[in-house]
Amino acid sequence: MGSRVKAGSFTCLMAALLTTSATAHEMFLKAPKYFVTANSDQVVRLINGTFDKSENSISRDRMADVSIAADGRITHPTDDNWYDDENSSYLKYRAGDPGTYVIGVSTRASIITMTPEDFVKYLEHEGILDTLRVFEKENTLTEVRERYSKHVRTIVQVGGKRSDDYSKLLGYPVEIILDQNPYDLKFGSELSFRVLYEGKPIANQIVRASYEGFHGHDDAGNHMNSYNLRTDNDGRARFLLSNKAVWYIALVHMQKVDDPDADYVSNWATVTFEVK
Amino acid sequence: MRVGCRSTFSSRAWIFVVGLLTSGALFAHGISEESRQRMIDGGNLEYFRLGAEHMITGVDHLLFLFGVMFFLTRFIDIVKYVSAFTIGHTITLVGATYLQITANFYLVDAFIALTVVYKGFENLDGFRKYLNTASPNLLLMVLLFGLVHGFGLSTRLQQLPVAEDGAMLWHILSFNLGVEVGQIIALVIMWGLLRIWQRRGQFLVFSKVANAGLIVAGVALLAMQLHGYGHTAHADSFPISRDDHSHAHLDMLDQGHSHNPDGSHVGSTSGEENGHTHGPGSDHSHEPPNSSEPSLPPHY
Repeated sequence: MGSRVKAGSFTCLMAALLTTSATAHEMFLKAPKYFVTANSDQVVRLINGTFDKSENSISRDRMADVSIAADGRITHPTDDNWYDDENSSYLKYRAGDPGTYVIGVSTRASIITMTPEDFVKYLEHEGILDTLRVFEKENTLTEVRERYSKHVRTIVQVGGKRSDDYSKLLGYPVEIILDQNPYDLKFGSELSFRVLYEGKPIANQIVRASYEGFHGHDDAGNHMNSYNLRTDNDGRARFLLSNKAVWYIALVHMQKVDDPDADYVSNWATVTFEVK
Repeated sequence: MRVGCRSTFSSRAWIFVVGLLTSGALFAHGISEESRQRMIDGGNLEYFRLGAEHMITGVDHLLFLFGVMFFLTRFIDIVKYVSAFTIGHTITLVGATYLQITANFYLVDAFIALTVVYKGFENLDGFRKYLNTASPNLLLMVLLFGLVHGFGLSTRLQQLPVAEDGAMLWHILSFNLGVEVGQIIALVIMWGLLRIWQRRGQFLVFSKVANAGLIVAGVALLAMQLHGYGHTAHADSFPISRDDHSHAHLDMLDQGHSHNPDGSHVGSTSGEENGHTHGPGSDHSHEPPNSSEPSLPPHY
């Protein structure tokens, strides 16, 4: 099992950085139920914050794309299908014919400006280690401008029939594509996935896989609240589905850019699904 | 050792008791990834080991058994009551796991905590003193409570990847056999300690203190489990993760939360099975979560 909890400086450092802290303003699509009956009205929740707590809703004008992949087609729900409460947004959708559905949301890019010190804190906090190392060595900026956008998907099983839509590309800048339908897998199985940036595999990308309540340790005794993985040359990584839970896979892809408006561009991606 | 009220409960003893309670609570909060992986990789022997370790470190089961054993002096009585408990928990452990019948384990464990309270109350002759009635048939109650304890064990076992093919029954039976072996080990130790205390002049005083302690411990366990249930039933009302939250509680129990030289928590026979082990020399500490949370640039 290539990606089990393992020793090594990468895991230790990730554990040290990510132990007690919850990641800030990650976005997830979470379903109240991942196994739903066909021909029923359902809802998914768009969370911005941590996996277990949303801090704000997302206005429709920030959404660049909302997609549902099912039955070999991609449809785009309109704004009417959304509603908000004080800290989350909700998308109503119709679970029609049986199959594995993918629901995705991609946000428009926003720019945030911060001090180099805050940028370092943020990189540490999110475990964006490769950028952090280079930034600490080479930075000459007095303020850092980051253009960020988020691309999230959730996989829901409608009825009993499995379909290939779980791996459908939605055309987002960064996508996490599972190699297997998670609803064909039982816990105790290994799941592999691929990370794509503009349709091409990203090698050596740091990725976290976890679920609420994940509790592991590295060899140094540091707490780990996720599997800390790196993709191979083909953009792939794998991990053990070690618990019956709602799992997520998350990453932040960060690039330094030569751009008049931004110094860095980040694309945040997550996928959620349930393992029974 | 003289059994008294205050002298026996030194600060070290309190640390042990609170640590033991805490380790049980941690198990209730989840099974560590390392344990999960070991179970997935391992076979029947791993299930056997986990069953034994769970019984030995399962403070609620131990407290209940301690209460049952408290006034038993004849070997035949011990065999009778322990057999009733064993039959009870085996029925539900094997049956519920095999049939994949489960429930919220916090609620089941809350009920198990009540069985501890019950036994302490009964040992203090509470039914006659406070309810003016005779105690229910103890053998029957032990059998019934055994069913509850077995269901609690089953809910835990069902958190693990029990095979769904022919190996499933072997995994369950291995776990159950481990539970029985762990129970025998615990019983032998308890029996030895109780025999020593039963022969001392202060046993009456000790029995009052110990059974009152059972009630207090049972209530504490009940509160922990109900609190845990609140997390699962109202997850959105608990903004910090379960892992961090359990550590926050550990900080509240700071006296009881110290590390052995090997890094495991005090009172934990097997820290790893409790989902919580620290490597030797680990500098890990349990700071209150988010207390030093950096103020981060908001990525809305």
